[in-house]
Amino acid sequence: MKKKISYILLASILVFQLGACGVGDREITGTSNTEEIQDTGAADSREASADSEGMPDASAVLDLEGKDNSLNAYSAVVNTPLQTENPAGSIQGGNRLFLGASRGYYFMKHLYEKVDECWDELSYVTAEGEMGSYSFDLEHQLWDVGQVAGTNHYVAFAYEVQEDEADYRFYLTERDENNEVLREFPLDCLNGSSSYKEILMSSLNFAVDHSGVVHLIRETGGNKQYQLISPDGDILTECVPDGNIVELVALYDGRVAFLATKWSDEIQGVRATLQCADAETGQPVVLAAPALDINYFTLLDEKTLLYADQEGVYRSELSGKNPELLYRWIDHGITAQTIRAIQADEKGGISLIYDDSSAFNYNYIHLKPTTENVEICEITLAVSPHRMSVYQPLVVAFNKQYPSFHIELKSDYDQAALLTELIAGKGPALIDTSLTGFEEQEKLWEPLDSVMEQMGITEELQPSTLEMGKINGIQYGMVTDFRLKTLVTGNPDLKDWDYDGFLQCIEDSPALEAVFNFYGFYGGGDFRPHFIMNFLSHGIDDAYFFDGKAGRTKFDTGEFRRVLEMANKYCEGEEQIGPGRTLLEEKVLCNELQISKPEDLALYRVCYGENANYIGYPTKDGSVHFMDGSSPLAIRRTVTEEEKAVAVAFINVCLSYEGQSQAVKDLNFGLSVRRDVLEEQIAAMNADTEVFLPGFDPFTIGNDLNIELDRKTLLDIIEKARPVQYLPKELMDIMYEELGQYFSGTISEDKLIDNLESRVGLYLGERN
Amino acid sequence: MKKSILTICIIFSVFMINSTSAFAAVCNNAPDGVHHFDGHRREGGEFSREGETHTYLYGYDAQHKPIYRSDCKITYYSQYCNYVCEYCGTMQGGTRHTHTTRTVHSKDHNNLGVR
Repeated sequence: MKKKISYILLASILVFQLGACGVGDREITGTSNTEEIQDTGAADSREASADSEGMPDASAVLDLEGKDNSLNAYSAVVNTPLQTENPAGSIQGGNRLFLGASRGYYFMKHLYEKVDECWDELSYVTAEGEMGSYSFDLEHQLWDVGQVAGTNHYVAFAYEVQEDEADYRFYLTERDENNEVLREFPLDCLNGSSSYKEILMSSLNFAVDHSGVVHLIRETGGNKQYQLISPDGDILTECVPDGNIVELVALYDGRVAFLATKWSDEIQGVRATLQCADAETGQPVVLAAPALDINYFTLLDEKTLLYADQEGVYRSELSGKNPELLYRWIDHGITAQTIRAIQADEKGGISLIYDDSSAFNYNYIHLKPTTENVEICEITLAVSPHRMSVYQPLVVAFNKQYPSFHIELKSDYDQAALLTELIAGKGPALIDTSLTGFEEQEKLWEPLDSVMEQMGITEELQPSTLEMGKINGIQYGMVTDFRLKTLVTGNPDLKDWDYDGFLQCIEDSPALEAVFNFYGFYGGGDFRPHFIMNFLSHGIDDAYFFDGKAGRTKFDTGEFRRVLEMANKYCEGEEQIGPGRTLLEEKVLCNELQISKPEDLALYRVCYGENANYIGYPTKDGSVHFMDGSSPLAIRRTVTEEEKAVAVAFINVCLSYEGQSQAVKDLNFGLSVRRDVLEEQIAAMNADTEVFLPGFDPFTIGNDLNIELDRKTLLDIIEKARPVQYLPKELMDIMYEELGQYFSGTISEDKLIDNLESRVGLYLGERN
Repeated sequence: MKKSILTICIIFSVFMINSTSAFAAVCNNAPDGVHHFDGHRREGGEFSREGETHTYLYGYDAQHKPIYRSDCKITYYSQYCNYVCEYCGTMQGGTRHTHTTRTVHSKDHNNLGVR
């Protein structure tokens, strides 16, 4: 029996050891660069459209001017801003966006301090690309406007004082696309029912359907009334909808429907439905009740739902099932932040008004089924999943600027398979090197020194930006953003420390519970190797325990044993060592901090005080702040000339003011590499800015806003920072393997020292 | 017999826990070898919450009297995120948090809502 138990235990240990090779063990590769890159040659048959400077040929852009590409089932026949004037001295009053059958309208009341100067504007763009506007002075103001379903006409709400001046007459006036008055629709139901002011103040929503029936929704004091009114002004019926009416919607066939929302127990949320009121009975008929989290949709035809979101335009079954993406915004260089209106016409065309920035920058787009194949040159950009949202606006900006080229953004990669593909000379043309590693894959990348020179934007970038994309002095990649890494200490008298000074501080602090803050998967963790590798080495030429240049090691010393003792005492624990309070109570010597956004400094200032001592990491020559760039973007060495031109143009977009200004909005984008955009990041801080940092509670700046102070601190640190250097992967793997075995108790301290002396010494010797 | 099995199980469990925590911080993809839980990974799509209603100066009537309307409805959009290692994508447990992604006004309006 005892033998059986021993065998079970031994087998279990063996199984665990074998299974745990994929759990946390450091995989020793060391040979990733030895395979020869297979050059597949330039296999494409298209002529390169790059000019002599490596940038895409402008004529290729002009060739496609006005034509959308044919990447999707639908293509745009027009995509243009829908704007009104912005007259000096005016403020905008009431406004409304709505669609005609083949045009978009934007109604705006321009208000002035001198009321007589107020005027209304009705701006429009058509599916043929025409644009224009009509203006109305105060006496002839439109007051409010609505759709005439199935046409490009519109109706305007108006009122006139009656002869005895005690009463008002309300009516709608229908005008055609040339602004000519066609007819009136009396609204007798409003006459005499309330004061005219109450009516004007109430929220109005009205439209006319193909049979001339007026649909009028009026909201007063939180109550909504929906009436159907004959062309002669008689109330036909009143509709009591199922839910809360949101908006009237003109359908493809000239009917007028409405969107209503209602609480759903099933989804524990609000669900929207599209309903239509029966003109005779007033009963609402549900046309579509999609099980989708969308608030604005219409019908493409009797059995097909049409809707749009930030990804694109879809059709689906009325229930929302089986969605088909008809038009994908990013493929056409479009950002659709909010959909304001969507409508289909009888011929299957689709019109939308969208806001591209949440800043009320409206655009009108008209889509038709794609019939013509428009050739473009496409390359793939491979990115890691959490950087997708960073690159998305950059890809949109590129696809917009270069409509004859297209970048396909992909993130669903198996990293090993991707590396194999790249080594074979194939795969995506542009690579986010967090997927593959950067320095260790030098042979895969196209040199970019001449490209950067031609771009001529070095002066606009932060110092050291280019350095972060170099390998052995050659530019192979570009970083788009960076973060700062430093240490903050609670001792205000500490101004500087080298390795010995840092270790002495630890020894001189008997009350310490930890050297630095740490948090692992579920609280604490083992950060002993991290302490040795990241606090006591910063690249092969700046390490406490070996001299990379001279090829000497110093593991067999009292200093190393002392460090091991410190690691065991202060750098491991089951509980998380959080930042902040423990530092100020002198239980922790320093906190490792990362500054990814300017507002991070606001949180640190509140946490550590206005005189927080950002001392930096110890190095052999004193303390240093580090600049850590995002994983560089690189171009596969074996791309064709045309692909290279497209890739270079994309990198140019990434570093442009416009590109960087878009990218900074993403959570995963750090500090901009451009000086001008960084200043804008700083200036954008406000009381509502939220800060999310691991280890800290979510923080909103509020009354702690102090842009000048945080700007000064940030720029001081940047000025003193240098690009972070890590140990070569092979050397790091050796160190982690040996330290791992020691800290797990597999080998003794003496054996660890012997192994490190031997293996690191050999590595340094071979290197030198 | 039962004591022996129990003892073995305890030893085994301690061994596994120690071994797991010993390598908990190691990241094969990170240049410095440890996880950096600084990446935000979005969880699901945006979810919305209805906010307040805004009042604004709509226009002037024929008698030049100001007319206000209260039909701008605010919708707040948020999204859940978790912290992930920015090098290998491993998620750090228990770090789900919410970001406000955008605030949508149903009307583009002025701030003259005070009567």
